[in-house]
Amino acid sequence: MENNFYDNEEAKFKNTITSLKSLPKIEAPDNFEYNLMVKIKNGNFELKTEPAKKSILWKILPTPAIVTAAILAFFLIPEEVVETNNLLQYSPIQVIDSAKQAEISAQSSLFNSNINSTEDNVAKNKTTDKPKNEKIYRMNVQENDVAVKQKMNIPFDPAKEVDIDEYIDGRMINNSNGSPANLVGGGDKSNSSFEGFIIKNKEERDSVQKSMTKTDSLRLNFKKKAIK
Amino acid sequence: MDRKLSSLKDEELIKEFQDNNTIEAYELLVKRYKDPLMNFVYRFLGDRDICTDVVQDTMIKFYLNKDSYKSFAKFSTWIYTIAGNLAKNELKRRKRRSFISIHTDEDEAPVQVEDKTFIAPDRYTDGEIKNKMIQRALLKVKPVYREVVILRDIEAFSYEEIADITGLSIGTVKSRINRGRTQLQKLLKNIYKE
Repeated sequence: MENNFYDNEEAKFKNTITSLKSLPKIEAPDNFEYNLMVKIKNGNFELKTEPAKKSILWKILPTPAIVTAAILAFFLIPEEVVETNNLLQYSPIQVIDSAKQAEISAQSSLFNSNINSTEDNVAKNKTTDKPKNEKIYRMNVQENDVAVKQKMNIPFDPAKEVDIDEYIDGRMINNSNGSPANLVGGGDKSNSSFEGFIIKNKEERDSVQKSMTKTDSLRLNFKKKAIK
Repeated sequence: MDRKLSSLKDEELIKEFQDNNTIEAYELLVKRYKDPLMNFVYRFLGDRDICTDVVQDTMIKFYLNKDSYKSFAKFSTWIYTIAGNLAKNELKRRKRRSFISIHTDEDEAPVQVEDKTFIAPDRYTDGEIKNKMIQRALLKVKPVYREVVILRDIEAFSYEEIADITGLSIGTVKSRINRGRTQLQKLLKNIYKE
């Protein structure tokens, strides 16, 4: 079937085939054999039509070129400032609650014999569970290894501030449906954007209690001494 | 000895050359195949000087690689395979050197070969002009088709032999011959009108 198809095709190209068959035969030049045998006897086997072989230079050239380019790129291209989110690069912002601060101030005031004012502060802190005006301190270590505490403002919008601990504890629950309230940036509140975290040092109830006990005992001793 | 060798078939001659390194057997094979190979390569490349170099190189390759010929193959197909490969290499080399095409699709772009055969028409008879035109048209056919058309219609090889020479299946050979003839017929339509 296939053969018939091509045989029929040959009939279709009869003129072309006849033209090709009628082309004159090309003959080799007279000195063809002589030149060939001379080449063979001389061992001249270099083929004229063989593609020219690339020298070994071309094989080894790319390696130094790549190395040179890499060196040039290293020295010439300016180093880009890459901002990485390395949490260990900076000391964490320390937020000291008023209670903690009061403890510190109470201790210092004890030495200054200012017991009354300390007592007031402690009492005030005892009543307020969450102080409104929190102060943030950053501990900076100077070159001479002296740690300096610097006051700083909270870099967030106070209106958007959220205490994650409260969410975890389950204190921030919507009264309407009993489900947890949306976190910052969550849900449909597209206007609120996440700005960052601040690590708060949790006040330890035990340490406050201890300091208060200590303050009471010191105050009693002081009064006794004064009476004497 | 020579008279005895000349009566041998091609395959017997190359066996003699392989086994006993008989240079006379080699010379006889060169004598038998130099003209058919010249004709084949010339029709494929269209340049007589380069064609001579290609055929010379074919014979040198035959001399150097005589042991790569296996007795189950026909000598003619083996030597034509060498010549065809060298001719195709030469065509690629010339293409790289002399022809820069804006076409990127190799299949669509016709291969243009410098026409060294052009001579003023008044110096030739009608038949010679016609032959020149056929040769020019042949050079415009894609090389993959041109090769098989030459082998079939000029060198008169069978489809099986062409398949052996080109390393293609018989179906592919027939298909390529058909396409090559179609291209050639389109190029030569003006000749047939006359």
